[in-house]
Formats: sequence, C-alpha cells, structure tokens
Amino acid sequence: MAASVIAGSPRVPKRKRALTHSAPAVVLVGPFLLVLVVAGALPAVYALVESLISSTTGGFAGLSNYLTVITNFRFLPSFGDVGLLLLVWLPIMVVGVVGLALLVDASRGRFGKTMLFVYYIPAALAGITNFMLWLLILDPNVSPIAFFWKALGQTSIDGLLSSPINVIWILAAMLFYEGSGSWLLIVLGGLHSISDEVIEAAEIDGCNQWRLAWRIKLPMIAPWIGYLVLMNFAYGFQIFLEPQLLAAAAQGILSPQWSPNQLSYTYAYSVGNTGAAAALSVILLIITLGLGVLIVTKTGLLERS
Amino acid sequence: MKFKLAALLAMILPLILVLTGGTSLAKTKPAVTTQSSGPLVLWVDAPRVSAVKAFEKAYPNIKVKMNIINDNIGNDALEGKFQLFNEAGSGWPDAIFTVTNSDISWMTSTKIHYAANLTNLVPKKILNGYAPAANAACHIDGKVMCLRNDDAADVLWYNAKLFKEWGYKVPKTWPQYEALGLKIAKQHPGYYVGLIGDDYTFDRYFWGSGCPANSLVGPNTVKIDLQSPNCTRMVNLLDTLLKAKVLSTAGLFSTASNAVGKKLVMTPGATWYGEFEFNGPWKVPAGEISASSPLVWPGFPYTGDEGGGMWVMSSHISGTLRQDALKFIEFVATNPKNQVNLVPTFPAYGPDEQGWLQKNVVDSHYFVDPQQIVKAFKQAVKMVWTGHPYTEFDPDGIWDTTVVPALEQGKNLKQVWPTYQRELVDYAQLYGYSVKQ
Repeated sequence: MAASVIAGSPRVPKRKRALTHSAPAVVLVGPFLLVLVVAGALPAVYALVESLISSTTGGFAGLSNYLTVITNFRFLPSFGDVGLLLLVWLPIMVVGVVGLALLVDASRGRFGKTMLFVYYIPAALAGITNFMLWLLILDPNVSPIAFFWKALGQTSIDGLLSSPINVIWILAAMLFYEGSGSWLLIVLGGLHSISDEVIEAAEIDGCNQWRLAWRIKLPMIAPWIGYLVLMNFAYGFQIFLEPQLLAAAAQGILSPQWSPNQLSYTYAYSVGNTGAAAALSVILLIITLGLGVLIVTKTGLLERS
Repeated sequence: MKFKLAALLAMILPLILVLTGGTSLAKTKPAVTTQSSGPLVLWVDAPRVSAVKAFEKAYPNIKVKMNIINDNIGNDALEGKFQLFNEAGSGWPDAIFTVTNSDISWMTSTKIHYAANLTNLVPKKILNGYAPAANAACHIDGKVMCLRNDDAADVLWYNAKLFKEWGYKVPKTWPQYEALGLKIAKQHPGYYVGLIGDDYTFDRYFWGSGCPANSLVGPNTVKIDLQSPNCTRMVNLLDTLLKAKVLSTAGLFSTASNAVGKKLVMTPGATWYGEFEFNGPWKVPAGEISASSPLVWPGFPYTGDEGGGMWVMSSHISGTLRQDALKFIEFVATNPKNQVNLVPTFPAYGPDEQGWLQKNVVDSHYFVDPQQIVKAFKQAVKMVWTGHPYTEFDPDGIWDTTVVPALEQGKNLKQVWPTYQRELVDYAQLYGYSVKQ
C-alpha cells in the first residue's frame, strides 16, 4: 500500500498529484520567498526604477545617472580598492578556512574539539565589540601588540593607514578574523557529511591523511567551498561597514568613498542624488549576480542538493 | 518552465508598476509640515547637555525632549538623517547644535532646507552683540541662519617657561615664526612648533593666509586656486619647517599627539587649545603655557578659525513651538548662565566675553600672563578673515584624505599640492558647484 502511494496511483489525476506533492514544498519555501521578495527583489526593482529617474526633475533620466557615477572620480579607484582586497583576502579566507577545517576534521577527539572552540571564539564576539577590539589593536600608541607595530616602524594609526597596501592587509585580517569561525563550522558540516565507509575504504586502500584530505575529502566538499567563495565574494565586493568605521576611527584618513558601496552612500545621503546612488547599486548587483552565477555553475554548488 | 516564467513575470510586473507609481509620488516634494505645539525636540552632543539642563531650569514651563547625538567633527551621518526626514516629511529636531561648522552649508541648502532664517526673529540687540567676524559663518546670502556658540579664532600659543629659559622673543609674524622654528630645530632638536596632520590644519595655517580653497564667487560657484601666492607662501613656510623636523604630522586629536604636545614650544591654535589640548590630553603642567596675538603675514592682518559650533533652529515649526525654540537658542548661545558659567569654550557672543575670560583665564591659575591671553583672544576674534566660507565640500576633510597620507609617506606639501587641488575640484563638482580655477 505504502509503496503504491509513493509510486503514485494511476487513478489520481496528474495535476492533483503534483499539487499534493508540492504543498510541503510551498510551506517550506514560502517564508523564504516572502523575505526574498521584501528584502531582495523589491529593493532591487526599486533601485532599478529609481536609477532611471532624475533626482532634480523627477522625470525620466535615461541612462544619465549611470553616466554620472561611471564618470565620477572615485568610481574606478573604489573598484580598484575592493578588487585588490578580494585578491588578497579571498585566497587567505578559502585556504585558511578549508585548511583549518581539514585539520580539525583529521584530529577528532578532545584536541580537535578544543581547537574548534578556539578557532570559533572571534566569531562569537558581537560585531561592534570585534571592531572596538580592532581599533585597540591597530593604534600603535595603545595596542597590546605595540612592539609589533614599533618593529614595523609605525608610530600612529594615521601612519599605519596612510599606505593603501596596509589598508588592504588590515581589512583582509579583519574580515578573516570576523568570518573564519562561522565558516569553519559550515565547511566542517560538509566534511562530516562524507560517510565513514568512504573514509574507511580509502584508508584500507592505503591513503594516508594527506592523500585522504587532498584526493577524497576536498573533491567531496567542493560545493561547500563554492558556497564559501560565493558568499564571501559577495560580502567583500559590497564591503561598507569596515572601511566606513575605520575611516571614522582614523580621523578620516581613509577616503569616505573607499569602496563602491560607500560611494553610493555618499550619493544618497550626502550629495542627495538618489538616482545616481541607485544606478551604482544596480551596477554592483549586476556584477555580483554575474560572478555569482559563474561560481555556482563552475563549482556545481546546486547540483548536489 | 513556461509556467515558472509566467509566474515570475506576474510577480514582478505589478511590483514595477507599484514602485514606479510610488517613486513618482515620492519625488513630489513632501508638503512642508509646520508643527506648532508639543515638546521642544532638541538635538545636542554630549558636551552641550549641561546647556539644555540650564535652559530647563531657567524655563521650567517649556517641556523639552532631548536627544544626544554623536557629533564628532566631520561626522557625515547627520546629513543622511535629514535627507530621510525630508523624504518622510517629518522627524526634524526643533533646534540642533552642530560642532561641524560646514554642516550649516547643507542645513541651508535648497535640497535640505532645514535652518530657519533668524534675521527678523532674533532681536537686533542680540545680533549686534556679535563681532562681525564672530558670527560671519552664520551669515549666508545676507541672512542670519544660525547663532555661533563659541569663537575659535587662532592665536599663537607658546610655552612661556621654555621661551624664558632659552631667551626667545615671541614671534608676531609668520616669517618670524619660521625663523624661530629653524632656530629651535638647530638648538633644541626633538621639540616642535606645530602639527599639520588633522582636519583643522587648513584652517590653522591657510585660512588666515587668505588661501582660496573654496571661495564663493557667485551662486553655487567656487574659486579653487591653490597656486595663489596666498597659498604657496604658506606651503613654502611649512615645507621648510617640515624639512627641519619641527612640524609633526600627528593629528590634534590623535593619541600620537600626546607625546608631541609636551614638546611643543609654540603653535598657532584656536582659543580652545589651552583647556582642551595643553591642559587636556597633552598634560602640560600649570605655569608654562601662554598665548599672544595671532601670527600675520606682513600687510595681511588676518587669522584663521578652528571650529566653534553653531545653534540652528528648524524652519519646519511655527506658533508656540517656534517661540520656545527661539527662547532656547537665544538662551544657550548668549545667556551668561550658560555661556559664562557652564561653557568651557570662548563665547562668540561679545557681552559674555569678559565674564568668561575672568573665570576661565584670569582665575584659572593654569596660564602664564593671563592678561596677555585676554588681550590676544579679544584681538583675534576681530581678525578672522571672512573670505573663507563653509561649503558642502570641506577642504578640511579632503586635507585628511589627501594631504595627510602623503605627509605620512614622507612627501612634502609642494608634492601633494596638485593632488589636493584636483581633489577639491572633484569634490566641488560632485556636490554640484561650478568651479573657477
């Protein structure tokens, strides 16, 4: 009886069967869809519409808002800033998180659990606390690692942040510190989903821990790594909070338009040109979506699920 | 697949329609709501809370709702809030204190249009109490748009103890300052004669020199000419002293300035430096610091000005509420109960000057030769050059992002000067100004 229900009785009309089948799916996906529409699609469509309207006349502006932002003197430099940041930070993030996850996974038992706890601590600090901690660490005059900054010849936070390359390294360190703990748990989830039989079979075939990690575990968690790259790429590309607060703390030595998202913020809340702000948001959305699709298709992120 | 696409379109199309309608509605200016009663909503930063408390004590019948805001110098989040209030058509405070003087440019812009015109609302007797230069920043297009809280004119601060020990004469002009700076570099290496790494640096050195970084020459038209001799004379002077290692690139409010402050032989600086720097974070002992009249260029008897906040009233109120708000800004800006008894900075309102100087300079026992400081302050407020306006783009903030990093990298001012000019022009254009170079 049970088998025939699952297989589907030929007497139930096809359409009705589809509905009964999809009801739980709707319940599961519904709340997500609602949030997606309210917090994702709606603002995106709003931005798209807004980007075509002139802030001064309120009429149709064509592509002039796009032209305004593309020709802005901070447009290319701000993309250069985040591009360089992604180039430095993403590899550190991916190699770091996956490496730590493989290490923790390989050393099960008390030691592994303790190390996991230690790695997770920074992520457990709330965002703003984390940031205060960073300000303390970065100022050579009050830092607990003042000896390190002095050894590098840094005597003030202004001096430290006056070099664009230093800013990139500092932001990369901040982002890794903030994010690695939570991502470690996610990648570990992927590693735990590999069945024990597979591992045992590999070990019987003579795999040592290195080969096991490299040949068996890594390929099997590729979708998780893809997810890691995708989400962090999106965050890094749209970075706003970290450079904004860093600039405020370092008495404005960083450009208030360091990242494209900050440039958009300036247009919206300082210049008062919401059309240009929206146009820049749409540009950011298109780039993030395009690269997102590329990552999803290349890593097979959705295929396994 | 077809079904999905149709569903997606069905979902998105109405959205677009609703939003296009919504947007065009939002674009029509919100009706100017004027509120005429209710509690007086006041926004002040933490140091101004005592002023509000004093007002409440003096006017117990006026109900006050106070919001404490983060108003660090150069904080640009405030303007964003006002953009949103304008979109919503409500939410403005009835009066506000801002410590960032350039805020007055957007508060009075046609876009934000927050500040009320006080020209005919505040009694003439009060307006005439200000020295012309003291309230100049509040005079916009011939109208009085705010009341200045304190006067932050630049004087010359110096360490009288060191001057006496080393037998130096206090300089009166910039060339004398330069010559003495070079002498100090030679005779007492490790000591400083100024700081140039903060967002008041332009005001401290270039304002009083008459350097046109944002001079308004027409409606929404600015002249930016950093190659003017009024600018380059100061660039040369500072580069000479920078090379001699007597200028620090530390910022005034940075922790790095604490060590520099103790080694300052002299520096041009605002009237508030005594209490807020030397006797504040720099911790210079009592009996060492004095001030004398501002440094000037020969034939150009002007000085600069570093801050000195403003009291601004909302243009969105009327009736009793407006009367109450007026009472408030008049009280906090001019009443000696606040300006003499409570305010730690030199009052901009003339009649309060003497009382404040007596209490904070003569009776303070911190300064050397207080009578000379009293004279210097009184002189300086009349000498502030009125050709440097506050614009929506801020030469001070751009100094921070452009000049300071270059100085930290070991460049001199001459090298970074073309970049500073270009950035000023870029930002002026971003904010919709026409630029003459």
